[in-house]
Amino acid sequence: MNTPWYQEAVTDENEILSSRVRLARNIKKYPFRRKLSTTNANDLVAEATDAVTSASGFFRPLDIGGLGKTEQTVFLEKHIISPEFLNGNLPKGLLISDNQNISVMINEEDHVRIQSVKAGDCLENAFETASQIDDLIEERVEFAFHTDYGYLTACPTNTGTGLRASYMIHLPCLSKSDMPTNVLPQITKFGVAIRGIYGEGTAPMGSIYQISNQNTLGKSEHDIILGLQNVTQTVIAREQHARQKLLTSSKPYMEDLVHRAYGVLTNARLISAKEAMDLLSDIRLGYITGILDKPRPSKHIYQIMMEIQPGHLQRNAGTEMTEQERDITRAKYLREIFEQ
Amino acid sequence: MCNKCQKNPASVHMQQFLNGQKVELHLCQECAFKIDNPEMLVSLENIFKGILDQINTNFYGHSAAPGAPPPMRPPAKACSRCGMTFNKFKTGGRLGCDICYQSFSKEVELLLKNVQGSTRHEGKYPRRMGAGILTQRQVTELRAQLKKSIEDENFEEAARLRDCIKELEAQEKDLGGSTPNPPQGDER
Repeated sequence: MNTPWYQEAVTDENEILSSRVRLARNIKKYPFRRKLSTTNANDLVAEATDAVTSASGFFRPLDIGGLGKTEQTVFLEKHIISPEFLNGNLPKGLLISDNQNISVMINEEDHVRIQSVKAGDCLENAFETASQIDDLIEERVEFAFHTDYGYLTACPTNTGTGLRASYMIHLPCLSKSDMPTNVLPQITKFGVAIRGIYGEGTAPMGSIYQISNQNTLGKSEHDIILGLQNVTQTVIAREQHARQKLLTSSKPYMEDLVHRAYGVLTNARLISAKEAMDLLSDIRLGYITGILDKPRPSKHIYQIMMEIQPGHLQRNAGTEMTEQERDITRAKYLREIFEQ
Repeated sequence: MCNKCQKNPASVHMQQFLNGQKVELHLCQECAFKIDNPEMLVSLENIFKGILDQINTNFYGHSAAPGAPPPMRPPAKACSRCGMTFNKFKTGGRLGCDICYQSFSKEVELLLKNVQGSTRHEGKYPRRMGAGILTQRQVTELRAQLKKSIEDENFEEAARLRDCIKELEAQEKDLGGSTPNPPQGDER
């Protein structure tokens, strides 16, 4: 399948939008980034790029430094690169697959960071892909590895498997009820971290959260993934319970919420990213529950959420915009996509 | 005031829950934009500070009571490969190279125990290490069992385990004695 994950229908179907895996590795013969000279960094980028491209034919190197700020922001909004990756002046490299679902950052916090994303609940599969790329690269370079500690990373919070597995989940009903007070403090006791994927803390934009493993050492990759799946399933059960409760006890409120969201999104002339994300969240809930009987827009809701972010808006318009210009463009884009 | 740069006024307010604890972070726009990884959200200084202070006390005797034994080692130790000092690691939260894990072995061990809850890798390993690493893991496991058998005075079991260990070690030698991590010296 050669479509980007966010264009797959499964992202519109239930709570889990995507599964993501990141593996952190360092090449033994170079010091970590903190102690890397520019010459060393140049050699590292060349060697790692060569290892990745010869390991697998489908990676394309991309000169991230040569891109404009808007284009860099687009990559951040797609979560292909991290803000950390853009920091500092040392040489760096980015390799991505055609559909952008697999990417390798070279010289981020660690020398090599392999990322694999799949639509829906597909964490093992995402790990398998990343692990295969890892094996192929490892045939060409020697990674820093310790018998007791496993893969050695710049930060001890990544040592061992170097694995950060995460789900992107949509929790509209929990966000409206006991998410901040009850659910968050409880589930983080089980070795997972949860945060908003856009925006702040307990009330993230669009009720989209990322839930990920905290520890990387002492468990196999399989067990880390299993642990995360179990906690995530518990959270999803709580979301479904909250939804059912709202549907039985407050149906008129839910109907009003969803239709009001549709009304505003299809009529607004000026809309901020936060307001639009929250309304899109209500609309997604409306489609899933069957409350909203309007035709679906031509793109999936998460893709729309991504395309109304500042970087995407400006890239698509081909020009830089002020905040107000963005709000106007965003409102117009949303009207058009829902009226098509 | 921004918690990170301590310069600009804070305009983004974040909350994160870690191990059931709520941690709040107040940042300026610029610093907020730079934070992406969950592990970065709660600044490393926050995670490490308590643990590293404990290490300072244990190993360097910085806050030892009067009459306590002298510090175990000089605090100015630097990594033999990259020159990273423990104090620099403490403030920056990042190690300088793979050898730092050996140069600061005691500190790293305690840190991993606290942050990760374990000091033993159970996951995948580089293929080039071959079967040697599996044998080594088995031997480590059997040694722990052997120790327990001796403590329990179960000498029959202890003798059986000792034979198993001997056999595995002989096998490893036959394979070419591939020690996955020979003692690593200064590479440059």
